[in-house]
Amino acid sequence: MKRIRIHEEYCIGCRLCEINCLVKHSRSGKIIKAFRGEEPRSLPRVRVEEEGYLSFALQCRHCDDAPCLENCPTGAMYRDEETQAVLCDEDKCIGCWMCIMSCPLGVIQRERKTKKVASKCDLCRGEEIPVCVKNCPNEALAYE
Amino acid sequence: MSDIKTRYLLVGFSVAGWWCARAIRERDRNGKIVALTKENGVYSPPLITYYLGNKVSTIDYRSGWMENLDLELVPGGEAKKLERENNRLILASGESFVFEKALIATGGLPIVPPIPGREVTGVFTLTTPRDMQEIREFMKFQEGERVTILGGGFIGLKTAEAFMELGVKITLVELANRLLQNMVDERGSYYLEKALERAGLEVIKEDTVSEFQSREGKLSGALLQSGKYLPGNLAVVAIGVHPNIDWLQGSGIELGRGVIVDEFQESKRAGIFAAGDVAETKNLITGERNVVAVWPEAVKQGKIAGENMAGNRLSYPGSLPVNTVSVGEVTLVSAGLVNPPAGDFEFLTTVSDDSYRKLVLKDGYLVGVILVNRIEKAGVYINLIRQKVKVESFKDRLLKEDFGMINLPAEYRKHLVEGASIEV
Amino acid sequence: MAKSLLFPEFKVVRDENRCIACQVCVRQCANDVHIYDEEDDQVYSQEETCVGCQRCVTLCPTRALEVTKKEAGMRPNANWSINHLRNLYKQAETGGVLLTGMGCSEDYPIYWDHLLLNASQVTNPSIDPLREPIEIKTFLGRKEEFLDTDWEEEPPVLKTQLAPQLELSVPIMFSAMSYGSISYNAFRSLAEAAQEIGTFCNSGEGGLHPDFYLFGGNIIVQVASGRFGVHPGYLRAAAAVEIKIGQGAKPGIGGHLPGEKVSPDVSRTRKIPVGSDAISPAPHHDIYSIEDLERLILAIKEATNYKKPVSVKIAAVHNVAAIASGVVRAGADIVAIDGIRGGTGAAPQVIRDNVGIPIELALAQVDERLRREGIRHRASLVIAGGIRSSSDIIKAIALGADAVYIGTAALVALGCHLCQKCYTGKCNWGIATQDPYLTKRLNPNIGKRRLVALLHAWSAEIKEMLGGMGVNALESLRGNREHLRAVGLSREEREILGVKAAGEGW
Ligand SMILES: Cc1cc2nc3c(=O)[nH]c(=O)nc-3n(C[C@H](O)[C@H](O)[C@H](O)COP(=O)(O)OP(=O)(O)OC[C@H]3O[C@@H](n4cnc5c(N)ncnc54)[C@H](O)[C@@H]3O)c2cc1C
Ligand code: SF4
Ligand code: SF4
Ligand code: SF4
Ligand code: SF4
Repeated sequence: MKRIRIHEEYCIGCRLCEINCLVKHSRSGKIIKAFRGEEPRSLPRVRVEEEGYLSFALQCRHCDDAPCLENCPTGAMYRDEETQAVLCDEDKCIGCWMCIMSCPLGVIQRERKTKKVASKCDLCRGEEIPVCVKNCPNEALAYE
Repeated sequence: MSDIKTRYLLVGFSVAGWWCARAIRERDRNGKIVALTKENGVYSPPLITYYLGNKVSTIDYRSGWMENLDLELVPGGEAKKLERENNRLILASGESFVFEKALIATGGLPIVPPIPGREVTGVFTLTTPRDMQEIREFMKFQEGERVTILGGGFIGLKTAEAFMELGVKITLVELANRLLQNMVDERGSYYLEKALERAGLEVIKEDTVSEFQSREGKLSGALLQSGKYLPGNLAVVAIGVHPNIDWLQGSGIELGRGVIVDEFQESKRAGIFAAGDVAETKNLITGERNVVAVWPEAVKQGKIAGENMAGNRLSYPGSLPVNTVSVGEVTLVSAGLVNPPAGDFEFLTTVSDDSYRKLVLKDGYLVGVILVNRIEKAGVYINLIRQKVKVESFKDRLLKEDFGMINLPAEYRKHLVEGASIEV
Repeated sequence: MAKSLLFPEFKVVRDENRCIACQVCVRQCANDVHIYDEEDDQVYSQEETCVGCQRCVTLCPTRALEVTKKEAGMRPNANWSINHLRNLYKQAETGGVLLTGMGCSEDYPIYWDHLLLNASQVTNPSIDPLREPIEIKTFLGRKEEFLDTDWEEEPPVLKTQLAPQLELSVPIMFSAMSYGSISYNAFRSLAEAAQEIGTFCNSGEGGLHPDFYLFGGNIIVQVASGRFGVHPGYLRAAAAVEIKIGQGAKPGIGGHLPGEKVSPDVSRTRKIPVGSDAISPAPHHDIYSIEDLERLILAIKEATNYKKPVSVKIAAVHNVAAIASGVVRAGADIVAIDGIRGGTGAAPQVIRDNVGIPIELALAQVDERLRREGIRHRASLVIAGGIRSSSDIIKAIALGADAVYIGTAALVALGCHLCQKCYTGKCNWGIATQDPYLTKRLNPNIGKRRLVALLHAWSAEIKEMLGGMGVNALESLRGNREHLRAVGLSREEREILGVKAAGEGW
């Protein structure tokens, strides 16, 4: 499958990946509205980690033997036939957080109120190139 | 009746059994697999309490990865006896199977202590779909106003969570002086108990039920050791499970608390493996043998067993108790050694009004973790424990606000991030 | 300290209707112009330190930002320009020499813009570059006066031993920009592009980072007055060696790499302590005459077994033609001339903007003089200093150049926005900086791709123009000033350029 590769040596910490991911997963899909008009603001599924001069954007790796999927008791976490992406079916999710406990990268976020997985990379569901990759100004992310 | 022959026989088809089947299929496309289950379908045990609490509409487990396993499922196929000399298993129905390789994955059974009155109507356990159905039926006719839950451990809390959803008044009775004593430390229990209190739960500690009292065969109330009396027609005994091994007596399989297996998940009888809640394995951290009855370990053990049954020779690194509970407004994650014995352990903690995080270190390695409410990085810590990554050099960053993969040694980080797959 | 009288040069306009407070600008500005206020959840700006590099404008995802020149509210005055006033205030406050970066930005005539090219009509056919090959390959180095050939042999054998040559697939090279003045990634972009295209980049006077020895076949190494990083391995690794006498942006003065840019890696490459200023003296202390230069050229040829052409780079100054003649006679295989608009990483502004002459005039005079003296073939002419486009290049070739060096144009292709703050080491585009937070901003894979694209585009345009003139090889255009005509130039300027006025026929 195609995966997002991280080239940390070129990540400049601008967070345009986060911003564009947030917009992509907002209700309106429009940047200004997503930030200023939507409450609660949607969450980016990619997170930029930074320490000193180093930074990189991290999102789900869509692991081959995905522990989040293996340990999800509802089957909410599933692998998409077509893209091989590991996705979360919110209707099935019960907010037991077994997936969070299992993901070695810590890339799943929860929605406390509704008790659902709130944010996990979905490879932009069918976008030819994920928006984080497409909008990275320095090719610190590649989809290959 | 004549024997049914199979290459692989899975006794019990739940988490451990599923993953065993899947691992077998990845190595052996054609070998016949027969899977027995005492129940009627393929269900997910943790959903039982959620179903009772009306949070899910089915307990069936279905997922894409389970398709094409190409096995023969025998619902209601309860194993009765494993012959000592032959690879031959006899069911309660009298049917018999002759196998080349077998997996014992019969899980656990609830522990019910010999409390007088435990057999009266209104006293239940809650670990199987049948238990759940019975409670549902019961509640249809009886206005269950109060439920007494005996046991303040993991299953007790899961049970409490379900009844909270149903708006029933709950009294939790725990023998120890705090709840969830195996999963968290005292401070962890404190956060939990506070949250339960806010949610309106009554918790009685350092006490237990000495008698279930009844009227006309129906529960009328629970009398506690302290003399306290809890009226009510519904009680759930939830003090834990023990491995379901009684049926293996006389089979020549070595039994301890559970089925004793080596690092290949193989029992003393060659070709017969065990995995999941029924198996007794070495603890990853302490090396002691014990039964770690949690889902993630059932997956891992099942996979290892399956690989080895199909001809591989993989070993299981050891079991790690890991679990998470959410009740009311509190979410807890626990893994590894959380209440270590006296010794050279180092503790890192952060405490705030609504969160608590504690890491237990030994010799520069992470061996235990408790997280209250701030759980997003739980998997990162747990994987550091599993992979035995030395954290000494970056331990000061482990509890930072923005702790993440970036703080981990570059090779480890790159292995995880670049490597497409994560080791079992 | 009294309040500074300096007023901000730029104005930051934030469209509050568009700003989403995502803080991309905050993170991208190395000059701390944008500040996020957590309490208000708003981004504000302080314009004092803005250099107008447009980094924030480019990256802002909602296009909420505009950075424009701030109109000074003073009464317009043709004599006392705003620039003069700024400099006066600054110097009255600091008492120092004003530094700047990039090339001269004063409004002197640009002769390229007064030269027009010819094209074929009826009497000579033009060539379609898509159908017929047009050769733009260029060889740099000494050419022989005559070739001694043994015609008896079959096939005939060339008996004359040819001088070493640099083979360029395009008549364009990247001019000297040292690792130190530019970042590792910038240098890497140039080196990789040079290799891919089949041309050369130039180490500048900063030595060669060990990683770049790999690209030695496409690198010209410099020997300058500071002799930083010069050792036998350095000379041997390169395709050619260039002795740097002068630079168009600062003729007559030495080089200065501020200590801020001397990172550990730069220090290793230059062989000087971390954080120390790297000062190249104004003259080479062993060169006070053409004879001294000749000795150094010979020494370098000796050290490289006469296998590599030696270039000498001089700034275009008033007597450039005579100096170039001396340089050729001293044995240089290539003479590189850098005009007044040549760039720099750091130079005193007063020098950059007032010393030297435009490259077009220098080129015409040098070519003319070397021809007159019959020594034009003994060295190739490479010119530099403000080449902006393929038409500048083709005009330069017609004026007599063999090839051009591009510096600023290459950096612009890499993202440079000409803010002229190279000397501060805070280049927001990751080009002229050693700050690891900033250098990451230039991904050399992207940099290389952009440079290669630029050279491809220019080659195509050069071929178009050549085809239009009915010329199928660049060689045929070299020094052929009949293909040029001047507009808007005085008779004197035309004479110096050796170009007829537009409207004059053959
Ligand atoms: C209510 C509840 C909530 C839970 N919540 C969590 C949780 O949140 N997180 C977590 O990590 N773990 C949880 N667990 C534990 C987890 O479900 C188990 O660790 C896991 O199911 C173990 O899988 P297993 O395959 O070993 O056995 P089980 O799931 O116990 O399955 C046993 C299988 O054996 C079959 N079987 C039993 N006896 C026989 C026989 N004689 N013959 C044939 N077949 C037989 C049964 O039909 C069944 O298919 C929970 C368990 C329960 C009951
Ligand atoms: S957009 Fe690219 S450079 Fe910017 S933070 Fe994300 S990965 Fe890094
Ligand atoms: S969420 Fe984590 S465990 Fe699951 S596939 Fe993504 S990276 Fe792997
Ligand atoms: S939180 Fe949702 S997705 Fe995660 S394991 Fe639980 S049910 Fe599955
Ligand atoms: S692929 Fe899409 S969903 Fe995943 S992190 Fe990138 S932008 Fe977000």
